[in-house]
Amino acid sequence: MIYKRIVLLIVIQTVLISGCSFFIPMEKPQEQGEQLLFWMPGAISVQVLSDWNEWGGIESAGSIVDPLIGRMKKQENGFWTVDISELAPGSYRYVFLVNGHRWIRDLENPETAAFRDQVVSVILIYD
Amino acid sequence: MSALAAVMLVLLSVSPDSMDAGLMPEGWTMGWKCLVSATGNGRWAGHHPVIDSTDVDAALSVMAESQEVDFLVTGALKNDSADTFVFRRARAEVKWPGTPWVGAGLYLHDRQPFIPGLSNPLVEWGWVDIDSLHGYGFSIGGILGFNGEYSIQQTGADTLTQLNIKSPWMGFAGFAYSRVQYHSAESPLDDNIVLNALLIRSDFRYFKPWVVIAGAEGEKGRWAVTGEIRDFRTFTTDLGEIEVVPAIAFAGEEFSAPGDAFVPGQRLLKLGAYLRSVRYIAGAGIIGMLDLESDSLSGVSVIASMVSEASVTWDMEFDAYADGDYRAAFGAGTADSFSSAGMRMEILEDSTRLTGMASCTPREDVSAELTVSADVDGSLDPACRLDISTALGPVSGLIGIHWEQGSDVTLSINLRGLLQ
Repeated sequence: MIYKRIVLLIVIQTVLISGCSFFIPMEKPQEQGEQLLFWMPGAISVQVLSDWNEWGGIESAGSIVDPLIGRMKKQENGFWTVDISELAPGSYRYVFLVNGHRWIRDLENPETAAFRDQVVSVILIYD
Repeated sequence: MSALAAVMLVLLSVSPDSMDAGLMPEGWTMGWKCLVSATGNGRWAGHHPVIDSTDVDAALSVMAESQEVDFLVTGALKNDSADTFVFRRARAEVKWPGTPWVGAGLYLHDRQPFIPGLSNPLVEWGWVDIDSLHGYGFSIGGILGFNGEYSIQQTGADTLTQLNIKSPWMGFAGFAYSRVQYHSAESPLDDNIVLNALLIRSDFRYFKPWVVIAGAEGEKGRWAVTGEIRDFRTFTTDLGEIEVVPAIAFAGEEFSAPGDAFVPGQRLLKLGAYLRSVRYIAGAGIIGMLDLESDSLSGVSVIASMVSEASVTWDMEFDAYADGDYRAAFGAGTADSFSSAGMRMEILEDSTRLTGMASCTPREDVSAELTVSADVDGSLDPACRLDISTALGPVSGLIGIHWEQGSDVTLSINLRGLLQ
């Protein structure tokens, strides 16, 4: 009986300790500036499709997503970044295109809208 | 296919360097780029795959630049049922030497109408068929920081004109004015649209009001206004600051615009609170909506997501409306540089959908992803999808295999490349 209690305690303790790191948010890299940040260490490519780049080409000449447009830069710690400091003031919808086919909204941005029946993120660029 | 192949061969045989050296005057540079997308769709028949359809599209751009003038010409080659060439965009821009923000441009282009709102746009992309547009545009910028753009285009027998004027930041406010006029030749009363929209941004140091006023000419009731108090940071928590956003969205009974920003006749009050974290990968928000006209838009939305120290991604969304509609979604996943796995549950009124996902990245440029989904109550058929993607610089490829209960296995192959 005592062994069962010890095992149960170890399990509970393990869950609690691991649970802490499960629910403690990850810190962002320090040098961030005006850029979008996306964490996906196993992705082979991440692009930002947005109102500001005609959704990567979907809404422009040819209707083909340019594989280089909005391409995010992979950092060593699993983060992908793209600079948005040159954007003109206004409201923009955007989404991350992962591996050329998965649309994922920005998880650190709670403001959402819709584009082609998909949930996408919204950002306001101030003057 | 023959026209596309011929153009590709000519371009590939002429390098940009030889174009510069042989054709261009001193001080000019010339370049080109060609976006190619080749798609095949098929199914698994017996013991072998069968390709049912293929489609090759290309968008070819040629550009020439100097210190004072830029030229760009873009055409699209389509090879669906037959070779078709669509002249898409031409641009000539003049810049004031040394001050690139002063300039003027002339366009022959596929300028799609688009007017942004505060979240959803007043006029959405794709409102008119991109292949049917042709016309002219003119822009001028740099005068006291203002810039403007005017275009007149035809789509079939209909006429589309657009005017956009943007101001610089004037110390306390800035504005953007847009006018879209759509004249339908066939049904002039029902389909004519004249929409004016004015976005005003201002700054009162502790908060920033943004207002969009829209009006459509014609009958009474064709007006709309939406406003939000932005950047009002009320208090700070351990995770970050809380931004409170009061908002209104009112529209007249007869207002209609080809976007999702407004519902005709709506009288909506909103109050949102958003967690803005500069330190952590976390975001959360709660929005209360009160519809003064009906209960259809009254409700509450909650959204929260984060990436944890243990490399676990959490994502939760919940929407509930006063008329009884609701939706909830919960997702969790973990990832490292080699693999990832996760699940997502989405609960709607009539179904509960479970989706599991696992992926593997054996090389830096190759990834395979398996997705399996099914309904708890069996209202939607189970489905399974395998995607293998690759990204080699400017070329990306995707192979998809999709199975759904009661259907054949379908296959899709897509190859996209940027030649330049």
